[in-house]
Order: sequence, then structure tokens, then C-alpha cells
Amino acid sequence: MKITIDAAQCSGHARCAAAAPGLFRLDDDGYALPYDGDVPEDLEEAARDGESACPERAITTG
Amino acid sequence: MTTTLEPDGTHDGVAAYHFDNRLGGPVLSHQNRWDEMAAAHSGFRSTVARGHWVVTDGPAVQKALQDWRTFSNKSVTALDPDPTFLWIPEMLDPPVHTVWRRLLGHYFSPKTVAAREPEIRRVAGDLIDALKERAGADVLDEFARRFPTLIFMRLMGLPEEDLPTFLDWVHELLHLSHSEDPDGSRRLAAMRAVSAYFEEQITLRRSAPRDDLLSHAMAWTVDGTPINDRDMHAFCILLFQAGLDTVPISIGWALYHFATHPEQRREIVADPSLIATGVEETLRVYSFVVPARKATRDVEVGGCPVRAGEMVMLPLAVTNRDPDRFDNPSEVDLRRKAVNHIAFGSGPHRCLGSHLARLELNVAVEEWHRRIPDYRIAPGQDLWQHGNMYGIKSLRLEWRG
Repeated sequence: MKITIDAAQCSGHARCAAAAPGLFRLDDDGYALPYDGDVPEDLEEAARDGESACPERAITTG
Repeated sequence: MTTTLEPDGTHDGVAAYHFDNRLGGPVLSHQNRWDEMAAAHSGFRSTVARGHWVVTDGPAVQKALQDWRTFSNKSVTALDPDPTFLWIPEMLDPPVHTVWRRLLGHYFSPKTVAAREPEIRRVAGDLIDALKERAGADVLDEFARRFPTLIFMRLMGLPEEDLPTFLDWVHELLHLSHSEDPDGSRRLAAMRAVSAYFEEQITLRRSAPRDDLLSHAMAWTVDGTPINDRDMHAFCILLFQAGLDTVPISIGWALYHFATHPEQRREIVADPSLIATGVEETLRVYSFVVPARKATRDVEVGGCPVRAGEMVMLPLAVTNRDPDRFDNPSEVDLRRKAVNHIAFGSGPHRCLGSHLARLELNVAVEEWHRRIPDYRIAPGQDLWQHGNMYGIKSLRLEWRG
């Protein structure tokens, strides 16, 4: 699984990091940082939680 | 009483109503009316004053908020398309808006805000401790309005003894009905007083900078130019207007909700880990902010043929209570899986203070229920909510006897 974050759409709600703190990282202002590489299998559900928590729908997993 | 709108003909082929969002109504009447309007229309025309458009399709509201190129923040008041005042950064568009948001971002980021949590918790706890031995109180005046205002004043570096004055100004500026202030003179007088207050605070810091947000902001540059006193003033007015009433309103709704839903109250008391979702759900269900934008070009949105320069109202309640986005949208669900609401707006103008507001709200609900776990709405009140931003006017709760 990969995580794609649309940086133009991210508006800094920081809900992804609240839903899955071990997975999503934020910059100093609270905007989501890109996620590189594959999501470890045991974190796939957390990734989907982060995706569905985004008010802007800026996150896609798959 | 009914709050259903009477039709007022059509405008460019779209249903028109005499819809005046400034008017107050019984608790939840505005939210319920948005549900009705959203079920019947994707958009309509309000015939109040010069008229404006209102979008009632959930996805269209959000898309418009995200599309800052088409929907400008030059005016954010549906009835005032050409304001003579400026609030910074809210009434700026990118790219200047982006510069301000970057400068401010750090002060309101999740990390910076989290560092203040112990202090925020202490302020809330002290206020509730002072109430818990009493039989009851007007929880808006005695807690919900004081707590976030004190935090705001500390953040800005303003003297705490000015708290009562601040609360009076907020009341005079934002809470007067038409009959209380028919010619708007009380509101104007308060506006002038707030303006003079911040002018004085800015002058004080120009001569002797301190370690507070105001002083720091005065040292910033936008496009290489230091921020002048006029823009500094526009920034202070925004923080006052946008930042001072919204958290009190949210705390009021949370306490109203848990007073009227005792089973859910018992659940969060027994398991405080449910509070975080409970807070998000009250923000969503009681959505009280109604943004507006000014069209930069002719565009169709929610079926409305909007012309360049016209105002478009974008009620957040419509997206947050959209049955296509949330199951049982008008119910607070303490275990809802995805609560991706837009109570803090959407797009580049997402509420700058959202992380602070969210923390204050969680702390308020946690500390309140730790001290006052059992309470009810005091009998004999007509619970009423203001127009514009739908906050409960006054809320008396009782917890003894």
C-alpha cells in the first residue's frame, strides 16, 4: 500500500496525524508531509483511518 | 413557532426566499432549516437587501470554499459585498494570504498549541472549581465565554484585568438583536472602542516590544516590507472578531448537548476517551458558521447562475449534515468512525485557530465532567440562538438539589 497526499489540497487540518499518529507526519505548521515508500502491513488500517479523517479528501491510499 | 421559509418568487429561474441569516431563532432552528432547504434545493436566492446566492448542496459548498480563484475572500459578509474594512488574513486572497498564513502558522500549529495544554487545563479547571460548589450557573457567561477569552489574552500578551471589558465588547459587537440596537449605534461604539484599544496596544509595543504574539508580528515583513500599523490593526480586529466568540459558542453547544443527552453524558464520564469524538461530533452537528465569498467571474454553483461580483453564502451545516456524507447526520455518534467534517472551514482559509480551538474544547469538556459530571438544563428557559453565528444566547444549567 502507498499513501498519496495532494499537497495543493491539504489545508492543515492535521486530522490524519490525529487519526494515525504513528504514520502521518506534519510540517511545523501542521500540514501533512509526503509519505514515501510502502505502508507496513500492520499499519494499513491506520493509513485508511487517516485517509477517511481528511476533511479535504486530500489523502488516497491503495 | 415555524422557521420554515416562505417562498419569494424566483430569481433567474432559481427559487427565491426572504432569507435573513441575521435573525435569531429557537435552539437548532437554523440547523434544521438548512436540512429542509438542502433537501429541497441545491441552491437558492435570498432576496434580503441587494440579494445574494445561497448554496445548499454539500459537495458544492466545500468545492467553492476550496476554489479561492473563483470565490474570493475580498468580502466574507453576504450582505456587504464591498466592505470598507479589512480583516487580515481572512479577507486576503493568495498569494498575500499565503504569506500571512506562513508567518502565523507556527504560532497556531498543533505542536505550539499542545505546549500550552497544561496552562489551558489549569485555567479551565480554576474556573470550573469556582462553580462546582454552587447549585448552577449561566454556563456561557460564567465559563464558556471567560475561558477561551483568557487564553486569547495570554497568547496576545494583553492584561488579564481587561477581561470584563473584552467580554462586554464581544457582547455589544456580536450579540445584540435588532430591537436592542435598532440603529446599530451600540455596535459601532463597541467597534470604535476595540479599534482604539488595539491602536494603543500596538503603539505600546512599537516603543517597547515584548515577548508576545503582537510584538512578534510587528517585526514580520510581507514581501520585504515591514507590516505597517494599519495592517497590524486589521490583524488584531480579525483575531478579536473571529477568535473570541467561536470557542464559547462551541463549548455552549457541547454542554447543551450533554445536558440534553444524559445517556451520552454518562458514557463520556465513564470513559473520557470518547470525548475527542464527542467534541468533533458536536462541532459537526451544531455547525454554526456560515461563510460567504465574492465571485470573481460568472460561474454556476449549486444550480445558481452567479455573476462576477455577486455574493455567495456557503453554510457549513449543509456539508456537515449531508446524509450522503454522514449516516444519521443529525445525530452525535460518540463512536463514529470517520468524522471528516468541515466545521473549521475548507480550503486555504481553514480556521487558523482550529488546533487551539479543538484543544480548548476538549479540555473544557474533560475538566467540566471531571468536576461536574451530572447536570441538567434549568427549567423555565426559552433557549434561543443568535443569528449570523448560531450560538446559544444564554444557557442556565443546574447540578445540585
